[in-house]
Amino acid sequence: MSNSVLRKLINVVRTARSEVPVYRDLYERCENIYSLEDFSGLPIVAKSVLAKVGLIQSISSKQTLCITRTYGSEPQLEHHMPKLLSLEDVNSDFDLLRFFMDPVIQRAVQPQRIMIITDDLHLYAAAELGNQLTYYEWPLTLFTASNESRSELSSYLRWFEPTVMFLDADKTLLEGMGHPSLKYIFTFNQIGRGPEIRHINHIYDILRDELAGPIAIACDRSYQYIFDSSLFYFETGQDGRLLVTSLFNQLQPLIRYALPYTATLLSSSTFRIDPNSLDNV
Amino acid sequence: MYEPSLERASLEQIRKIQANALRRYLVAVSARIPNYADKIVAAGLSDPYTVEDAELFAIFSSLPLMDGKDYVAIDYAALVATDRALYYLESTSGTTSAPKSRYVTVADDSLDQQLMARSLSAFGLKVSDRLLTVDLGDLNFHSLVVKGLSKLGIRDSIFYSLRKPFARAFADALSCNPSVLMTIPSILMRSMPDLELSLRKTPSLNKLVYYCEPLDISFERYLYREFGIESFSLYSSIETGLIGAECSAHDGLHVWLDALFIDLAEKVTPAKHDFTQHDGVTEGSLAITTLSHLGKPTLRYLLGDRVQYTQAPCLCGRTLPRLRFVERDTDNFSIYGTKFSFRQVYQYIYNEEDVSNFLQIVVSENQDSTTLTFVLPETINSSKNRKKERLYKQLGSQPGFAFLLDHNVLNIDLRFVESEYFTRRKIKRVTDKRNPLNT
Repeated sequence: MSNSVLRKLINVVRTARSEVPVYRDLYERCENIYSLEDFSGLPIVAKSVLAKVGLIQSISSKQTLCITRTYGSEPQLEHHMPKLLSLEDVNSDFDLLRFFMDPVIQRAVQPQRIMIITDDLHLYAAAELGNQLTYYEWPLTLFTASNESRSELSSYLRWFEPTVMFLDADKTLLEGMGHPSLKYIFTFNQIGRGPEIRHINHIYDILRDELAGPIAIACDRSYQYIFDSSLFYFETGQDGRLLVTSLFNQLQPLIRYALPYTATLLSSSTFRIDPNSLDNV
Repeated sequence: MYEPSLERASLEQIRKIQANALRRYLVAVSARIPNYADKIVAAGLSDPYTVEDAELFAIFSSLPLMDGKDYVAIDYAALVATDRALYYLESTSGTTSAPKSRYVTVADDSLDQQLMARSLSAFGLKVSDRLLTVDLGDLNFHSLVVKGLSKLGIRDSIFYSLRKPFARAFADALSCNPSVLMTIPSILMRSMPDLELSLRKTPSLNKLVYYCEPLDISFERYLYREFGIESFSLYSSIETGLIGAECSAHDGLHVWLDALFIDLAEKVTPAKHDFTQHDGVTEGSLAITTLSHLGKPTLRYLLGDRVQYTQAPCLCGRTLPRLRFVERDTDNFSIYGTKFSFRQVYQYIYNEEDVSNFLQIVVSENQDSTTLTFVLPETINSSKNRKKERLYKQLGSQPGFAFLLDHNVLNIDLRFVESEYFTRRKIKRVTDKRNPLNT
C-alpha cells in the first residue's frame, strides 16, 4: 500500500468531516486518522443510511454541483440516491472511463464503432454512458431494445456493424445474436454470468453501483475484478463485505461504503467476488 | 396520463384545467422556494383557491418576471426542497450565457414523457415509423424521445452520434433507412450539399423533426421540394422542458397550455405575421411558468425568445393556442440609437435565390466608429465582393444605416470562416463586444 493512497484517504476523510453533515455526525466520536488501521476503524456506511439522511446532508457545501449520473434503473424512491459530481469530479470520471476502455484503446488502430444496447429500465444510465463515450469521437449509436424489437435489433447490428458493444440491458436480448464485426462486449453487473454471444472472444463486465458508479472491471466471465487504485480504495469488512472508498468524489464523498457482495482482496488493484454472495443481491 | 382528447377541448375547458393546475402549483412552490413565496404573498395569492379564475390569471400575470440570474439564484433552495427526489439534472452548455441547471424529479420526468408523446403525436408519427436521432452527443434528449415514442407504441428508434466529417457520418447514419430524422438544423445545413446524394438514396425519409434552433424557411422549402421531406419544429428549453410542437397544418407550434402558463412580456400587435388561422396575433418576449415541474420550478421565466401568439383553433383540430418563433431577444442591437435585427441583416445577405447558410454578427467599436463584422462560411467566399456590394446597397437603402454609413461612423467588414465554426458549439447570433458582459 503506497503512502499516496494513505495521504488521499486522510484527505478524503478530513474534507468529508469538515464539509459534509452526514460524515461530521458519523465521525463525531472518531479520532483523526493517521494510518490504514485508524481508517479501518471508521464506521461503515450503507446506502440506506445515506438515503435516510437525504441528499443535502450527504454532499459538500463547498463544491459546486455540476452533473448527476444515473447509474441505477428507474428509481425506487425509498432507497434512491442520485450520484452527483462537481466539475473536478467529472475530470476524474473521464479518467475512469479511459481505464475501462483501456482494452479497446490498447488495440485500436482505427476508430471503433460503438453500439449501446439498453432497455427501458436502464435507458438514462445508458444515455449518460453514451454522453461520456462521445469523447472518443467514434461512430456511436444507442438502441433501446425489448423482446418485441428483437428483429429491429438484429437489423441494426447488420446495418451498423459495431466493433464495440455496451450491453446495459437484460443479457437475454442478445441471445442467438451477434455480428462478425463485434470484437468487444461490455456488460454491467453480470459477475461471472456474461451472455453467450456468437463470434465474441472478449467480454468485459463492469461492476457498477447506483451511488458509487462504475468501479471495477472483469474479463471473460471471471469473478476477479480489477480497479484503478488511484481512484478507489477497496477493503473488506469483518463479515467479508466489500467496502469502497472513492478517492475522487469531492462533492458527494463515499467512505467505507458497503457494496452488496462479499469478496477477497487479491492485490492493491484486484479483488474476487464470492459467487455465493450473489444470491443475496 | 397521455390524453390526446384534451388537445381538442374548448379553450374554456383548457383554461379551467390550467387555473386549477396553477393553484396547486402556487401552493407547492410557495412551500418549496422562499423567494417565490414572498412574491406570491405580496401579489395577494397566498390562498389562490379563494380567487376566481380570471382574477387569478390577472394577478398572476402581474408577478415579477424572472430571468436567467433569478433562475440560478434559486439553485440551492430548489435542491434542498428536491433532495433525494432528484432523479437527474439537465444543464445548459453555458456557451451562450452562464450555465443553468434544471433538477428533474421522477414526477417531472413522467410529465416530460407525456409531453414528448403529445409532441411526437402532433408530428403524425406512426407505429411503423423508424426514427433516427442525429446529434453531436446529447443522448439524454434522445432518451426522452424514446420514452415518448414508447407511449405511442413506436419501438423502432436509434440514436447516432455525429463526428467529423459530418456529411460522411450523416450519410452513414441515413443508411439505416429511417422514415423520421430528428436533428439540429445547423448540423444538417452544414452537411449540404455533400448529403444530397444520401438524401436521394433514402426515399423512406419523409419527416424532419428539428430542435434547439430555428430552421430557415428557404431550407425547409428546399427539403420538401427536392426530397419530399416535411419539417416539424419541437420547441423546448433546458429550464422549462417541452413547450410546444408543430402539427401537420404547419401554422405555428401548439403550446401545452394545460401544463404551462404562457405570458408575453413587452406585448405588441405585430405589423406582419404568417399565421393563416388566427383571431388576432400578439407578439412579445415569451415567459413560461411550468405548472407541474417541481424540481426546479419557474415563475414567469423569460426564455429570451420573441414569439407571435394566437388563440385561434388550428386546421388540425387542436384547440391549443399556437406560437411562432420570431427571434432571440439578443438578436436585436442598436448603433447610435438606430435599431437593427439579425433577421433583417440575414435577409440582406442571403436573398431568396440563395440556399440559406450561416451568419454571425459581431458589433465592436473603437474611439471613432462602430464596426459590424459579418462572419460568414468560407464556402461563399468566392462571392465576397458581390456580397459586400449588395450589403452596402441594401443597408444603404435603409435610412438608419445610410446615415451612419454616410457619416463614416459605421464600418462593415466580412470575415470568412470554416463552416465548422458555426456548429462546433452553440454560438450567439449577435455578439456585441461593446458591452463587456456580452464578450
